[in-house]
Amino acid sequence: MPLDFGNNPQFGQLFNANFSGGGADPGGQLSLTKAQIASLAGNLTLTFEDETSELDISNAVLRVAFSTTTNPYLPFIGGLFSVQQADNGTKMFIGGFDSDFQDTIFPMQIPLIGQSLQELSDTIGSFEGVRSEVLNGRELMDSKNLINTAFYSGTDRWVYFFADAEAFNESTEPTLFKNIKTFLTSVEPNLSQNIPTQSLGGFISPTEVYETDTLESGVSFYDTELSVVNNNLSDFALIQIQDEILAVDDWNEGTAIISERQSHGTPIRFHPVGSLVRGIKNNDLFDTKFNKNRKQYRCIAIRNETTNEYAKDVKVYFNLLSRNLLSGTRLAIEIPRSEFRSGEASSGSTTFFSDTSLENIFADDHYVTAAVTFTTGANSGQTRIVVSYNGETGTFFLDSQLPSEINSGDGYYVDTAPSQRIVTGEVAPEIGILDQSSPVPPYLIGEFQEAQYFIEGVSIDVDGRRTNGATLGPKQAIYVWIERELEDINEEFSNNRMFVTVGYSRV
Amino acid sequence: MAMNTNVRIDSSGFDSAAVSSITEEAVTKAVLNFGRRSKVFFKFESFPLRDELSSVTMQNVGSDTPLIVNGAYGNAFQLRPATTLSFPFALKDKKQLSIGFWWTPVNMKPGINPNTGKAAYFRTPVISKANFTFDLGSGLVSVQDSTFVIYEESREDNENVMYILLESITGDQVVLESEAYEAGLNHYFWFAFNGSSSEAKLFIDGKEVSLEIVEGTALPLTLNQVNSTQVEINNSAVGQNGLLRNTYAVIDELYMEDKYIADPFKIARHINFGSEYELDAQLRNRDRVYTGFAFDDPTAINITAVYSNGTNIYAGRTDGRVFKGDRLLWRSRKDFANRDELDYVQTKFLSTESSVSIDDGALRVSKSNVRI
Repeated sequence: MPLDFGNNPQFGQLFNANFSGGGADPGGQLSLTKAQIASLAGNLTLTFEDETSELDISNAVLRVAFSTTTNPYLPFIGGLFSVQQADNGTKMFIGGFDSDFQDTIFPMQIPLIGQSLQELSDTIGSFEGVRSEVLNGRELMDSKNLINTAFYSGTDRWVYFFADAEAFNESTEPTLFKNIKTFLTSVEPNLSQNIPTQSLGGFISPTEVYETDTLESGVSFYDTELSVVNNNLSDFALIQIQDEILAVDDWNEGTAIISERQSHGTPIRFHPVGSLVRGIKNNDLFDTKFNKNRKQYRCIAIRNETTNEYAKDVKVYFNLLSRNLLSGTRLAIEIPRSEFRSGEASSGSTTFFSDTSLENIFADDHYVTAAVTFTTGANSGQTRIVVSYNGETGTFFLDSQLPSEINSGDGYYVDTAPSQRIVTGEVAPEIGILDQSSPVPPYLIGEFQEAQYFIEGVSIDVDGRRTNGATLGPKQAIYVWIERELEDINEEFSNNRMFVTVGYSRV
Repeated sequence: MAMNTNVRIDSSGFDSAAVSSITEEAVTKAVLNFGRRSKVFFKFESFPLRDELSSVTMQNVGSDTPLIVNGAYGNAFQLRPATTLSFPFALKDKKQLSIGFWWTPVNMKPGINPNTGKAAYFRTPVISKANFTFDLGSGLVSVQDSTFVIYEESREDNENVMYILLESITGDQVVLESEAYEAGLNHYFWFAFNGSSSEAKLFIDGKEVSLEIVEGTALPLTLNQVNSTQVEINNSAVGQNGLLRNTYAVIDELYMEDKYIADPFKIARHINFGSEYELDAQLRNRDRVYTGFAFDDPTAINITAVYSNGTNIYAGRTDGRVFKGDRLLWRSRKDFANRDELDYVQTKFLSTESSVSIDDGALRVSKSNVRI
């Protein structure tokens, strides 16, 4: 009996489309449209100016050299390398070779699109006589972050390439998969949500949807025991690792005796050491109360909790659907009016303050409804709601008086603006409102969609109008509304499940 | 601070026309990112067996065709003893190699060595890039001009061990032996070799298992690479000819690359999503975060009408079904003698005049639906 890896259309359809029949090199079909490709092509005006000559080579991210040492019969005597940028912003890695006949050819013209530095390095290194190495552990960095350079001689010497400072400072060990977290929503800012069924929109509560631990060692698909690092899931009879649910018979000092793999009809998976383990409960977020149309609604928040990593091309979808054919789920994505920001007050009183670094950046009322929390100064720990915001001066007006005056240099953060909130889980949220002038949420929300598998994933760039597009940057968040519906002929169905999945690209 | 030592090329005499634009063709290539590493991936879906990355085709050079059976992802091939599959594969980087595949091993009960009375274990081939030779005098099958040979040995208790023979560029051979694993189950094997760091790792079902050197002294720095030697599945193992058999194991999703890959999260992607997920440049960099929800779906069916003819009770439901029940039995189960039983009745009021109450040992329903 073959193992059930959940051969759902998420992969099958995608790969059949991409790799049907294998075939001639280069094999796959493009996932970009012709129009997208055309927009990435562009004219180069070669520059011989350099932006990297003053940089410290210990901060380089890539080095490339050419040598005839290993193959003296190469038809070239020298190599030169550069990163150039086209008029439309697309960058290209260019490598040229000097021939015996005093001319130079440029067979290496690699657009820096959709590939990590390691992949770029592999491609560069595949040219005869060329050696390429990624430095400083930046294998997964997006190659488009390479800084433009002049042409450098790489003949029997290394040419060093550098990355934009912001990209360079990104974590070398990507932690996004651990730090894109899901939170319950709450009626007040900074208020724990202890009743998951009341996650009905509003502010992002500090309560994660699930308690989480980390796998201490890998779990193969035949294992029936597993250990977690912190032993904080002993109250849970169900755990989720990746998209597999496992039923736990007993916990013993952080070791779970598994009574059922693939519980709730989930696929079998291998779970590598370091995987996240979530404790889950039946009927926690969802309950049995439906409206007369047999629907119920919940709202969760998804936030990138890293300090310097970017999830790109983010899509939200259900990778495991309801396994009851008479029930289903849909989702809609709501974008907050304003994102998280931390800063220092320039001046203020007990009811307002300004931050001059925000002058003329956002429109009036941009931060209205968001919660401001002071992190330093006499009001440290105090939270207020923004009732008005002056974009020209960067001034926040608060809903109630603070105990003390706000002084210059007081640290604060303004949290993600809240979503709309519904009064009960049986009321549908407002959707499809894209041009609302009022600062009251919802600000921007798409329609409910089936979002079945990756191929139907819903981009977080709702209506193409999210400020940061489909990139979820550090501390940025989105709200996901989930609609659950029963058919009118549905009989009881136990141990159902569905998985809300955030899919993203690391580069 | 270590100063930048890059040596700038003078722009004079530089022919800018040679590089003037980023063409659509170049963008297309970059997106596809086919690279030039040695890499093959066979899905074992159907004949002809074609590498998903190139036009390389896997040929059956044996006399029996393999059977197509269900595999981890789609179809798999069940080998037959006279099946030998063959395809060309040359390592560009001879210091690194990774091989991954699904394999359902077969265990052969050991024979008895008539001279010693001890168990004699059978060996079966898995995959090799080697030239096998048979020495008539000693009865030994050995290899030469090889890169690697992976083969199994069947042990007691339905367990097998895997052997991995590696040959260096100087012809030195080393044999590694794995921990035992259960035969008859679908396993994922991943072997990763790095000559530069002298590392060889075997992962079974994603978990690293011990590999012990049982022949030879040290791992090669550089693997031997003979272009003319093909990779073969189910050709031969190494050892006493009398104890060598061919296998009818099941193979699926064969992935080979001249690159050392030992990151458990990368191997997990081969196992959990399929190797295709690691081939496409776009998909390779995609990740996902799951939040699962478990719940029970309640019934959506309500009783809309109840009728009693004195003997039976008939209940009509919203799904159109009518149930017939014995009145005495009904009463014994729900006698509505206690007003607290109202708490166990779910009601749906249909108007402002609706009511549900307990009245003289019966449930009185007025302009309402109830679910009992």
